[in-house]
Amino acid sequence: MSAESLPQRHQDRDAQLRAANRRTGLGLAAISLVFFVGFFASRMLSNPDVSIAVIGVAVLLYLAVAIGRHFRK
Amino acid sequence: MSSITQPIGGHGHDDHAHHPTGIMRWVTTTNHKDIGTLYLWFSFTMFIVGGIMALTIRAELFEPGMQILAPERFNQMTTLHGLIMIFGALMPGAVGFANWMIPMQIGAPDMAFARMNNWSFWLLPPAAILLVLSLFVPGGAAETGWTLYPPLSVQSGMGMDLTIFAIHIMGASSIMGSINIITTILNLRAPGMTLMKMPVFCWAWLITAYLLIAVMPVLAGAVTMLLTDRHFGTSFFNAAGGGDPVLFQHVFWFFGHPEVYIIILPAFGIISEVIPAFSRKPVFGYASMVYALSAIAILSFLVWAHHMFTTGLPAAGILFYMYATMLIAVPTGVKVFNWLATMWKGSISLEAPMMFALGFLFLFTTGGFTGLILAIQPVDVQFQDTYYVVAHFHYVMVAGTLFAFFAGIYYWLPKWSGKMYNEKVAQWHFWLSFISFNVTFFPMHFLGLAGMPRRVPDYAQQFTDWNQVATIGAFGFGLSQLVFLYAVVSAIRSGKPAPAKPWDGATSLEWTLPSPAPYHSFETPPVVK
Repeated sequence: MSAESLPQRHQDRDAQLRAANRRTGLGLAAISLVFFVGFFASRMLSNPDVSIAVIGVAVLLYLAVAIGRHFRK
Repeated sequence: MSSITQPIGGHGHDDHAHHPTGIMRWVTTTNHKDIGTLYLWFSFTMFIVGGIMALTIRAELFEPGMQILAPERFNQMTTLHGLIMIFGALMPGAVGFANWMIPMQIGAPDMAFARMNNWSFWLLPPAAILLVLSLFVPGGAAETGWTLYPPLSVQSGMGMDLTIFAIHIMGASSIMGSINIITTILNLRAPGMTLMKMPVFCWAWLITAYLLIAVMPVLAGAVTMLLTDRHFGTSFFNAAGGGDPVLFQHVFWFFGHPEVYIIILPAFGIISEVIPAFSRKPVFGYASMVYALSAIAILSFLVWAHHMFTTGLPAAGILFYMYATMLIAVPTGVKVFNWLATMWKGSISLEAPMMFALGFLFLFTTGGFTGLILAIQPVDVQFQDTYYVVAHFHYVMVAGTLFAFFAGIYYWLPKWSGKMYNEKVAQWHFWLSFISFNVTFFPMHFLGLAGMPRRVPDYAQQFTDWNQVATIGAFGFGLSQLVFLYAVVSAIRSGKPAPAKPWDGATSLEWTLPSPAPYHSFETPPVVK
């Protein structure tokens, strides 16, 4: 490996890490936003119980998927 | 805990010249250790503020009749005491532990979003100021209790607006903090540190952060609806306009019940670090501890209406919420038995962190059992809004979370400050707290069983004796915390230097760092096998 390529690799890895952090952070923020707006929407719909149940199930599925995909890493 | 297969590379240089000093260090800091310290001191300050309110309430209740507070002031005190303790003391305290410990336990150099971390903290003081200031606006603070139920919350004065604004700010802070914690844990773990090798404390916080992301926006939505009902002519919760006050109860408790676990799960994490360290054994049933945490979190979404048994629910709903609530005892029991099994045949020593962990175990289990009793709907109908409920949740929140915080502070203080605390003073703190806590809250079970209602400043003559005992205990508990303050401040100022690993049984990554932990740690990640 050349002397110049090592810092370059570090920079690339840092940039990748920052991008991954941004993706994770934005994904989580989007989910917060959906829950915030979802409860207004649930009140606007004719049956709040159904929409609250849908959001509740979404929370559980999200937990399972989000943690599950990182399990072996 | 996993073992490290190669020497830790790059502990970082403890170069304090590269960051501001004095007050600007704390205002502009992006260092996870500084921000953890800020959170912990903020939490302690709010604990004192909320504690003074609690003592004012207890002073009023020392004897029947009206003594020092007008009835509306009394209700304002109970509301602010609850909000400040939950949002100002317990939650920020837990986030303080997360900031300090998560990067060090997973071998990360810092939190993933260091600037956002600074912002998350500095949102809190203005929110706390708004809450306290609401006492002094026309009409006084919110007098609804921390649950903010309409119609009273729709009708009350300007203090409610300040409370809603404060909740919005604190909610935003919590969501940002949670995003940071999840991203840090998922993306910044050291090579070889798989999720199932992480310390239980990190697992507890990962799950807690997901809970926060899911439920804080719900609370924000609920209080925003309240705000629009108050000022913009909507009728979400206003029956006169076709709204439904019961909807607020559903939405609030969809947040409120997971909130209980948001507060207790980090405490479980701390206890899961302390008990193995002082039993000199690895935690018993690591995987089952993780699955139990996850099960508690999932079940916490399914039980909210047990807070509404007296509101009126269909029979099928009552049965579902009753049995689902009882089901939470199973994963919680798994944790309690695992902690006991960890101690079984361990080489136990009883330093202050372990004493608080044992106190936690005994008293939290008591609080858990009374929770199980309250889960039985026909019983709950009798106990709803009595002092039995007050006793129950204080056994969970104070003896649960607060005792775990004390255990964690004594356990990690040598790593944070590089100094050992005075063991004798810490033991005094434990015994004074343990005894005065029980003197305060155990009699409340009797008062509740006898039918004394909560959130009422006056009471019938027959409740006097136990109220006087509780008030004496409360002042004792308050004074005991001065011993804690002395223990911590004297350790920081003049404690003996702490070794890198003062506890024999401690195994996680933070103990591979020198004490005090360097300002920048793990800039080159360790490799864990």
